[in-house]
Amino acid sequence: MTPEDEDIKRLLNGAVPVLAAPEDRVGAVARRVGRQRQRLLAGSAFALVLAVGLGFGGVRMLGGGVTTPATTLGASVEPSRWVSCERTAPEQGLLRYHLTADEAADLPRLDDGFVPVAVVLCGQEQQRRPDGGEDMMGVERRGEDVAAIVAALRLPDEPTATEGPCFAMLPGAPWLAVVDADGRWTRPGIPLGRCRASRPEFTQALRALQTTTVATWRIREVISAEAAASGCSESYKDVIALQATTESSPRPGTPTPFPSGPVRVCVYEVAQGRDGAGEFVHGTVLPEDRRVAIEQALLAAGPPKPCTEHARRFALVHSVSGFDPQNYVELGGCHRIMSTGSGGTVFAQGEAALAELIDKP
Amino acid sequence: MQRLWEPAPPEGFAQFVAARSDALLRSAWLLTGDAGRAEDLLQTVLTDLWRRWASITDGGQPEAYARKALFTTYVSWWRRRWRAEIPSDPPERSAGGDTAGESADRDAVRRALARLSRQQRAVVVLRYVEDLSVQRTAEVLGCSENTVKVQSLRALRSLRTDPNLELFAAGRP
Repeated sequence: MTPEDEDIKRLLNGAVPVLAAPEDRVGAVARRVGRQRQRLLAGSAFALVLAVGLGFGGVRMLGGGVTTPATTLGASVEPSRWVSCERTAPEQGLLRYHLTADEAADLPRLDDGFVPVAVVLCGQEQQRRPDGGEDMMGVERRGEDVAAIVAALRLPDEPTATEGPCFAMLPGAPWLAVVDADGRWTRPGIPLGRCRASRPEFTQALRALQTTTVATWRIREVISAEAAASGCSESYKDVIALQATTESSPRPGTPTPFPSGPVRVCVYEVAQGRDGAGEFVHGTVLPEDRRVAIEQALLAAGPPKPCTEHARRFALVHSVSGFDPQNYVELGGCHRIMSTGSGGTVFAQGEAALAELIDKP
Repeated sequence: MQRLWEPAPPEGFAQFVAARSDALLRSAWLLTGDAGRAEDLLQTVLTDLWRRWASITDGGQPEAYARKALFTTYVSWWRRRWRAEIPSDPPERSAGGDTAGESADRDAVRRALARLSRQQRAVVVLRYVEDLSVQRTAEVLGCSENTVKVQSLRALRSLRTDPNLELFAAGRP
């Protein structure tokens, strides 16, 4: 087991809180079993009543144009009128939400009795705002020329491939619902192809489906306008604090000079209770005079002094070109500097004056 | 108040619940990140186990079945929870509630796990908490060993770069 494996194992096992068991877990399970049996019986009874009802009324319904009381049926099986993706598929707002083809295939297949007139697709996409920042937006799309996609949804799964090429990836599937003329909806299972991805017929029909965006809503901000304008990340790992907790501290040394070209400074602050990560405060590409002054101060840094104080504010100073070195500077506390370059990572001692030079909006 | 039909458990079921629930609940918490949902997931699995108890005990592997059911139920759980066709019974919360927020470290792990996909989270818990091999993990999740390896790599990459986790050993050269 590697040190990383041990770290993960330790973290996971240490993270589980003391979990209180219910007084009678077996009883709770028994009640669930009982409720399932009740529902089963109720469902059977409903089917019997429906069958008897159809036996009496079916001919009249078919022949006389009397419509099925859809509202009554709908009301008996849940809030069945389509409302919106935002309300129906809130999981779309989760970080890294990913619906796999296997999960989509597990859903009940489209019943022959359900006649879709529209397909609704719930998704999310990152959108740039006029101020340069970016938001993760929920998006609801609706398509009404549904014949091809409905036909594809009614196909069975293909037999799983036992030979031939298949990508070793985890195929995804769209969050898709179909809506009928009465506004009732269901999420149908999406048939799988031979490689356990959605069937090609479905994929092609989905690609060909003409949709209209009917709603968008903001899920969360991904990049603030200020961070976007400065070219900095919205958050950054508190690298010096994390490095200080490891057994193998970098050797003392002097930061190396920046390569030619502009240098960017990004300042972060570690919020209370968010140890380990700093949130963006301000950042900029340094004007020449500030760049020279900061570089000189970095190159003049001596060996680190013993100190355990934790700085809640730190900066990343690095070349816009992306080339080394990357300098992490504590803007308080011990005023340490950590510099990573081609020669490895070194620790050096900064001063309050360097912090002042850096921490200017 | 409606009186619910409460059937008697099959023989040996209560003993199994007493012996194995704690371990299963720990895994359930790591999967769901919430004490109430963990208890709900566990009870969902135990309910399934109850219904198939005779055939499962005939095979002699109730624990293996429960573990597989826990992980596969979790992987397909969100969609069922959030679908309109949610059963009328709300999840029953555990008596203790979620104490995750009491510790910043615990919360960091919970948030880091929440950033993984369900498959990745299941793989990580099976590999690092349940100590299963790649092969056994693949068997539990009903996928290929290659999928387990790929998901494991992606999960580790995500954990390694998570700003809230002090997984700095991962960054050592």
